[in-house]
Amino acid sequence: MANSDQFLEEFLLEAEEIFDQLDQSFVQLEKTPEDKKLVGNIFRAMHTLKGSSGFFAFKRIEKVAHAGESLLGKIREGTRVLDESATNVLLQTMDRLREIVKGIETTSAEPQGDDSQLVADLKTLMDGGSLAPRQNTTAPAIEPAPEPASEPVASEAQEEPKPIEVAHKLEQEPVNSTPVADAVEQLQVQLQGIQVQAQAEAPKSSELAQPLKVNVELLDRLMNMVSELVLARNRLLSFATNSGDANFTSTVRTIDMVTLGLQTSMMETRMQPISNVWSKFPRLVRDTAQMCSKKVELVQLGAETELDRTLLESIRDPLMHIVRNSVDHGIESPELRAAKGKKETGTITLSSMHENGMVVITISDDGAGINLPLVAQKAVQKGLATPERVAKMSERELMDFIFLPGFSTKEVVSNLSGRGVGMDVVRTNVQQIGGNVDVISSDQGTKLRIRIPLTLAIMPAVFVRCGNQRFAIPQNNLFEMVRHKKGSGSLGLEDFYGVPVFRLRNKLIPVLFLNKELQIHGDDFESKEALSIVVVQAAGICFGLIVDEVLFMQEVVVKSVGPLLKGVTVYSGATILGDGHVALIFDIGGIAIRSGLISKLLENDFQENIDDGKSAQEEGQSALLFDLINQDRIALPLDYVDRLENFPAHRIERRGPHDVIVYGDKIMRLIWLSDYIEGKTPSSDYRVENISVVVHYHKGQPLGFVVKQVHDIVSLPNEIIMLSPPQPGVMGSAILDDSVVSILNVDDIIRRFENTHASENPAHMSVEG
Amino acid sequence: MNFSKTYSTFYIDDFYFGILTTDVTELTKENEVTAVPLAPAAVQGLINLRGRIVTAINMRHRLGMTHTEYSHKSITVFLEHKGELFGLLVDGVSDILELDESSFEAPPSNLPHSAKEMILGVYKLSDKLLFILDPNKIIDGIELTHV
Repeated sequence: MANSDQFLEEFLLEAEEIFDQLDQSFVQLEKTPEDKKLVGNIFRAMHTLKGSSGFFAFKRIEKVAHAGESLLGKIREGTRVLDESATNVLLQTMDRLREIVKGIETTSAEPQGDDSQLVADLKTLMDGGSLAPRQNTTAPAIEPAPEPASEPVASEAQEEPKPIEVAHKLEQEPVNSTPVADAVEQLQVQLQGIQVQAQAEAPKSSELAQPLKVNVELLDRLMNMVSELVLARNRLLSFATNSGDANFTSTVRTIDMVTLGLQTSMMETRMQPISNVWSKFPRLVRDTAQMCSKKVELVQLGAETELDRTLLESIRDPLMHIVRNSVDHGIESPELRAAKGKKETGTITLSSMHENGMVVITISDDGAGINLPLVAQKAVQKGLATPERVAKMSERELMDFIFLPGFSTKEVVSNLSGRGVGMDVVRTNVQQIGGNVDVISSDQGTKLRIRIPLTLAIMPAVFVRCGNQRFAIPQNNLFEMVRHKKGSGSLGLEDFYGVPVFRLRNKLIPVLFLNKELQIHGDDFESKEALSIVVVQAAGICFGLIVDEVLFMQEVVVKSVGPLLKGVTVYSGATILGDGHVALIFDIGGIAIRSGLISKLLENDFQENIDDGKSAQEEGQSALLFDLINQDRIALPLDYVDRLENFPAHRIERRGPHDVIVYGDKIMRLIWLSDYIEGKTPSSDYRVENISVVVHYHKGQPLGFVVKQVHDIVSLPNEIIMLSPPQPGVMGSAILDDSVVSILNVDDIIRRFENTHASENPAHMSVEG
Repeated sequence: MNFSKTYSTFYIDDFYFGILTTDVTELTKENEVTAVPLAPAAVQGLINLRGRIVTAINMRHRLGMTHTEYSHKSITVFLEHKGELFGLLVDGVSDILELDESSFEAPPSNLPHSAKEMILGVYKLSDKLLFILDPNKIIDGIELTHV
């Protein structure tokens, strides 16, 4: 009995794989109907399915698959062309098969149903006939809007574990034993060719070693044990440093190395390419486009990007929703597109890549974009904001409305989207796994960017002290840390309808006292000179947590707090520190909700920006203020600042025409800002031990602006004085605190920088080893 | 018809308790318990047991005792419940006894209701009473009071 269960499970898994493969092949086939190889593939897949179902005596599958196979056979022979009606019926066939298999999955038996119409259709087509047009014969793959994940994903694999494939990593030794005489020569040749050879060998090795199916539960168990091993190793390391026994120390070092290797390899088994999720999208786009009579092409870039499989699961629904939205809302009808001078066929581009330890997924379309005036109008209609306030809102703030539950600008509710459920769920789901979503939109299209961590099992966190306890704040929620000097008033805080707030660069930030929230005894704030405020962001608001002390930053292995504490919403998990103590990890959103802060702010129409008198004038772009070699007070719009770094000057290397620095796993080109503003500066002026670099990501690659000294973040006045004649690299000047600052024209500088070095293609640079 | 089973016994305050030895996974002493603010009162905190995070239960609170503080010499009795580990904080451990279930008696009526619920039966020793605890009730009871 157990045996046949196992066979059935294998059959179901195999069927699932076949369907995914078929989905893609069909959509591809529609574009290239002559591709005989593709037809052959589909034919074989259908045949396999038929064969396996015969083994279980699944009569319905066998019959439907047989009819489908026959039609495909004709197409393969070339006696019948694959037109749209044939594709539709074949897709319908697949949907039917999928439906039956779903039924088998739940009941272990074939569900009842009548397939005679479908089989007849297939037969008619096979015999060269054509079908009477029927409305919407293709059952579109509509699935309900994603539900918010009910549990934090950290608790792992809630669903039925499926085996995933772990490819054997065969370490092919390209160097064979050779006679010693010409070994050196040989070795040199091989070293040169080693890269090429390794690549050439890769497909061969996969032929040698079949991928192995391993149960996910087993992998999870192994992962847990490895985590424990890592912690045990940490304790061992602290013994070793104190022992002074050389033998012991070296043994521990070996264990350390092996553990690290084990941990890295183990993490790799959890990683899966994003294409596992994307593979369903071509079909989804095709069906949705057909439903709303649009022409849409789907482009996928970076499908091989890998991320943790639990994360992959939780972005599946949000992505699906966004893609469907893009087709339904974003892309215009072919006529409208033609009238606008756009290509009739709209394009949706999915791309993903790794950036700073995060996975960045962008979904962009060349459609109509989000109608911001309409968003503003709806917001007023729904009473979410006053017309005056909406008028003052930035694009970004307006865009935020689309993430509110029940908000939709779609005039007509279609059965695909426009019901106002969706974007809020998308954001909730993404935030739950520690990611964030942002939108850029214009009349040329919409671009959604999702940033999620690579893995949930290990994440960086900031430790804070409250009372005599240590707590971890996930870095994803962290905005900045502030030492707030107590001025006048109670603790230097102001009061907004009973909510304490403090001023941070022209913004009012509400604060919570951590000790009050946790109901524990903390430090006496009255006697302190300054407050330690950790500014965090969650549940759509930004607020400050007043802690007793900010301790350190550390990567933590996230563990569940156990069932008895599930109801305590302020924790998302716990972790074990190097000294063996347990520390709790906060769920910042949970704290915000529990404190009642959100409702208090909403009730009283809280506005972050201080718009009284003088500060209203000053409220402009935020910018980073810094000095160059011979010129002080230069401002760089904060939008261009991704990070600030200091590097020892000896790390600068020369690569072709560039000065570069290895930055993470990328190469960062340095732009000596002075050269672009003051003219060529003698490099001797830079002979300092450390250089200050403003990191800006340009087309996914880091660029480093070298400056002399970074001062502060300032808010630029709206009024910018244009220079006449224009000075290269400078957009204009502004008056700040009674003196002049020059505002950089970053785009101009990057353009000039790239033009000078246009001969090479930096995108192809990568770090080896 | 002699169904005797072995019971691990321990003290909480002056009371003597027993739990089926097969339910107990291990005993350790002087565990560091990390307090969890806002947790249900019967949850003393979290313990790191060789990399596993275990919920420690304040048995004094659970049994409705007035003093819920433990001395630093407390011992933790670990048991598994629905796939999760829990640690019961007790004051001291004693022998393993072989007892016949049929000789258990109903708990005395003067016990607090919450405590009585967790007691499977009472065994009369020559000099004292041994209260046999039901581990499932100990833990499920907390979940209930919290919801």
